[in-house]
Amino acid sequence: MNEQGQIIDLSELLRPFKGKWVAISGDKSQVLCTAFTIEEVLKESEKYKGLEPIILRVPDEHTAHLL
Amino acid sequence: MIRTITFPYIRFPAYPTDAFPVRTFIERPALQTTIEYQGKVFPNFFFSIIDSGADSCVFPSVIGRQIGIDIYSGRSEATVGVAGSGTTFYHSVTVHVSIQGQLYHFDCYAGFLDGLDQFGFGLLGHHGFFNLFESVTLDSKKKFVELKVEIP
Repeated sequence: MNEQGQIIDLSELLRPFKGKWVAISGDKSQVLCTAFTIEEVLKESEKYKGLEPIILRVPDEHTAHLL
Repeated sequence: MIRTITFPYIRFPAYPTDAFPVRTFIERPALQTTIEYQGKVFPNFFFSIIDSGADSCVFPSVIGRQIGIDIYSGRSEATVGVAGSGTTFYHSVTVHVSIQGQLYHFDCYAGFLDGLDQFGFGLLGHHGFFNLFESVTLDSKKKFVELKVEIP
């Protein structure tokens, strides 16, 4: 489901960016910039303020979530 | 009156491991969040996972430092979890959440954990998040989250 009911699929959009910090557009349709550090991706994403960037780190490998 | 808020899981890439050699994605109950500390707001949204196994809300230290939080000055608690064991340091922040284009916020005594830096996600746990709602349902089969909140 998307926000109207279907799952939001970021898997293919993000797959090429293993191990990097990524900024995606607020509508989750495109990658805006990537970097190896959060500081770099924040600086670069300032250019895309109007697209309401969302940042995340794509894992190096699948990380189990155990908390 | 009870208001129901429903939204879908998000599918993230996963990479093959010895244990799961053919898995290519993982679906998580995640929300767009950002945090505010003493009037300074982290400039972008980031994802936080609704985590029924987390006792409290915890965010990556690296995100807290970007808005001026002196992480290690907070009250501390030993933590065992996603990043092994470590120390979580607590600070009072405001958490902003975007759900289906609507913005919500709540005050939260939240932890910051260095071990989450490589994970890059926050965790929305019981103290601070779950206790805001009448119920939180994670429908892992249909892949949606349902929050029931009492409206005065």
